[in-house]
Amino acid sequence: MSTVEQVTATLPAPEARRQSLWRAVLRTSEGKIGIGLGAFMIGLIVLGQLLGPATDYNVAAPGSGSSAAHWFGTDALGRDVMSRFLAGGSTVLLIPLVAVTLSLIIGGSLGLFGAYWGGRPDVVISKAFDVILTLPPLLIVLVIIGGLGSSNTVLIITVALVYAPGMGRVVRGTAQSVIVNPYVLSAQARGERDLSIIFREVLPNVTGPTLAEFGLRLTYGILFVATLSFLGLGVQPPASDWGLMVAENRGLITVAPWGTMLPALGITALAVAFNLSADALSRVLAGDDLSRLAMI
Amino acid sequence: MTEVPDPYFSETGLAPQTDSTAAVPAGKEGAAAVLWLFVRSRFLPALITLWLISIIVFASTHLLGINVARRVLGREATPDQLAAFSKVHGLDRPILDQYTSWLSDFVKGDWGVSAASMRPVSEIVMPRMVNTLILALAAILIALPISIAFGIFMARPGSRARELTLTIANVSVAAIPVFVIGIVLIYALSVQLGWTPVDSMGMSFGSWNDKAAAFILPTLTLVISLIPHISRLTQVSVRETMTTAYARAAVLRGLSRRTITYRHLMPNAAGPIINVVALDLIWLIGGVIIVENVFGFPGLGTLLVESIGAGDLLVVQAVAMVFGVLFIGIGITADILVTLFNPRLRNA
Repeated sequence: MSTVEQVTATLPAPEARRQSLWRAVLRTSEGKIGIGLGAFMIGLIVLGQLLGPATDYNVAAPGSGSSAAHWFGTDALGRDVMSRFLAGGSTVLLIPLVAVTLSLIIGGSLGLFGAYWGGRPDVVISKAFDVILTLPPLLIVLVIIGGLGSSNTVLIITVALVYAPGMGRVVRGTAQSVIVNPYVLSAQARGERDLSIIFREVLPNVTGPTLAEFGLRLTYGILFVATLSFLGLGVQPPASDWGLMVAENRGLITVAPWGTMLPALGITALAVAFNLSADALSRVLAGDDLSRLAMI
Repeated sequence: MTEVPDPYFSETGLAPQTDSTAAVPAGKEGAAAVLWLFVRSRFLPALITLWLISIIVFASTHLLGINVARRVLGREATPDQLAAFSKVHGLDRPILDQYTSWLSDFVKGDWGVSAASMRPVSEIVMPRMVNTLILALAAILIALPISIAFGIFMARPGSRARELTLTIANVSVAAIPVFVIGIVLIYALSVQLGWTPVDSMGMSFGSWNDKAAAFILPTLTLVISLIPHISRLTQVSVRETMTTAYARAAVLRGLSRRTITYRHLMPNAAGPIINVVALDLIWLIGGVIIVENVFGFPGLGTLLVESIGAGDLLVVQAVAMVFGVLFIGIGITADILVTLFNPRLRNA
């Protein structure tokens, strides 16, 4: 992509660049809202973990509405919705985070090495990416969970495998535009080892687009894992997980709507925050410019 | 102002090719060549995808050492019963043997007998498939015009504030989980206003009116979840055509905004839009599975999740394969539509 080349060519040392990217994202309103909301949600989740889960049964009548003692009411088993909500954010965030990081490691390294070495391995890797990308992810993950049963490990590995080709393709595409730069060629001419060139010259220069893709995938991952939990095929009871809470309490939506609405709101806020941040980052990287459009 | 070659031309393939008519093969041989090109570039990859789905489906349900007999018959079953079940369902044969016979039977239309309900799998799957198809088609047909109109609206360059508001709204709605959209709609339209039934039970037991009503919420949920995606793609596509020389020329000639949008921009943006919407089918399949489960809609998505829960592997396999076939079929249809829309792509 021509835009990527421009960005990587004009930006100085990696350290300074990361800082300026961060600032540039925070300068956009989209980035401000996204990062602010994200920080708030992560703070809420961490705080919830510190407070510890309070999952006592029958603290009040099941399915009671909000009261002074239980601000957001109780669920079908008489558990306090607010304390389950506070405790339930960690899986919603952590499982996708680990899965997407794993997909970055798998897909990213394949894409990076493919782009660097080229030739037949590169063709095989990118063809494999293309084929896997044609598969509907939810269908594949559901079928695999249908065979293996669900656990956090299965969730992480399947989601990572489904997302790896997408990550890999972005890293490969960006790396391809980086390795033609003079600094890579001169490192090769100096006789540096391939691995050190990849890690010291190429990797720092693909971080921007990779980070944007990572944020986008994290958004999808959060939606994906929460959806699986909602379908009863993700995080299993009695764990408190926002997706699971929505599924458990939806029967009570007429009498105690908070049990469903609060976790639904939590998932949405988290996903919206990451999506806005990732979108802001990719816009900054693409150098969004309206001046080239025909003014109609 | 001198026109420099626009970098977007080469990237989008939308460059006005003056010699394009010369490249279109004429006559009968031309048609055969186009057909062969189509088979090679679209049909074969589709078959490979389908084959890959069949391997993943079969491997995950057979290779991983799940005891199907135990799952279906339960913990109380004696070893004799388990062995008999395995023999009847051919589970004791070598794995490759099972795969080839399953695949060839599947292609022939013999999908086996559900281990859980003892009914033929095709008899279970077919009516559900019809429901799912109606739901998916209704959603995409409603979502398309709305999203395209919205995408054109978003593509118009305007003030910074307008751009920001539209972007933030679009990106935010795109990040709402589909099941949350469904549940909020249930709460708002069914619980609070009482306009619609809370689930799709009417599909199975009700009158024709109940059946129609059962479609409202699932379709609406899918439409809302599709709009941000398609409108964003439309926006990008229309913007790309806006950077072209003919768009600027049309502005300089003083044509009205309406004429430029619908006569100059849309015909050129339509091809990429349909293409990307076809890619978005992956998304639609996911959405359909979720939406059906939110509303208890009797379609393939609920069947898939139910039979995964029941360990009814033949049904899981059949549903996954049918989803694969539908997905690929609709993709190819979209390709044909693109070709009809844009003659320049006919020989691409």
